[in-house]
Amino acid sequence: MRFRRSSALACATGALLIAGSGVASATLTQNTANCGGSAVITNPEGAVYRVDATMARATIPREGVVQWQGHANPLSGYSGAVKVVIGPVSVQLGSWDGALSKAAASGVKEIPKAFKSVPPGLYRVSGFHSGAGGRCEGSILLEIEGSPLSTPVGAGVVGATAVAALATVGAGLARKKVGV
Amino acid sequence: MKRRGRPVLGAIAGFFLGLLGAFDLMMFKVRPLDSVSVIGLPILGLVVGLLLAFAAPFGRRGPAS
Repeated sequence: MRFRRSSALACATGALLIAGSGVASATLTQNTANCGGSAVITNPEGAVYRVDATMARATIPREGVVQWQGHANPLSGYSGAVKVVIGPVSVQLGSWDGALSKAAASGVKEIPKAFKSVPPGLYRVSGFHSGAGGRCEGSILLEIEGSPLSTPVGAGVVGATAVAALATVGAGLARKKVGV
Repeated sequence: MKRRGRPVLGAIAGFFLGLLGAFDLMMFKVRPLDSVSVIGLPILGLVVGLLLAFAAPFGRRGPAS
């Protein structure tokens, strides 16, 4: 009975953790520099994906060509960075700085080949751009398309999870404790 | 005679089940790898593993005569 009550509590806590993920935060949490931008990504099969700075969640392919454009108020002594959040730490993907930023920029870039080995999934990417006169800051949930089993890392994690689940159940197998 | 499972195995396996579960949730696009899932789920897994080990609900054959 005590075990059942404890298990129900553990399951309820787990459900709360998962349900909490549904809360989508605003993409731009601070925007005093009038920042904005968008990208159109075309994958090798010709499918088109659109990402905008106003979106809270976007889907992107693992390969393709990106046509991007961005704008912000010209800032002097500017700097910025983009990071991906992994647990309690953030891994920096890129950064920039300079004396005076442009009001607008655009370009075309191919997604790096190395990106193909990144496991598909849901990633929170955050970034900022700031300088004298303004700052913009925000985050977006990026959904990298594909099956978790399509990369060696993804397949390994799924397999390891199954092994850990079996071991956890194995720990609950009754055995005799002699002398008690 | 009392019966119980393997608490050390339960704690270790439960911890890794929680940690790997956080990666699975990320890969199956349920939730990103944030602090709550990376820290919370392994702790939850450890607790569940320990509870399972102490309760040992599997493989019981009824009271010993």
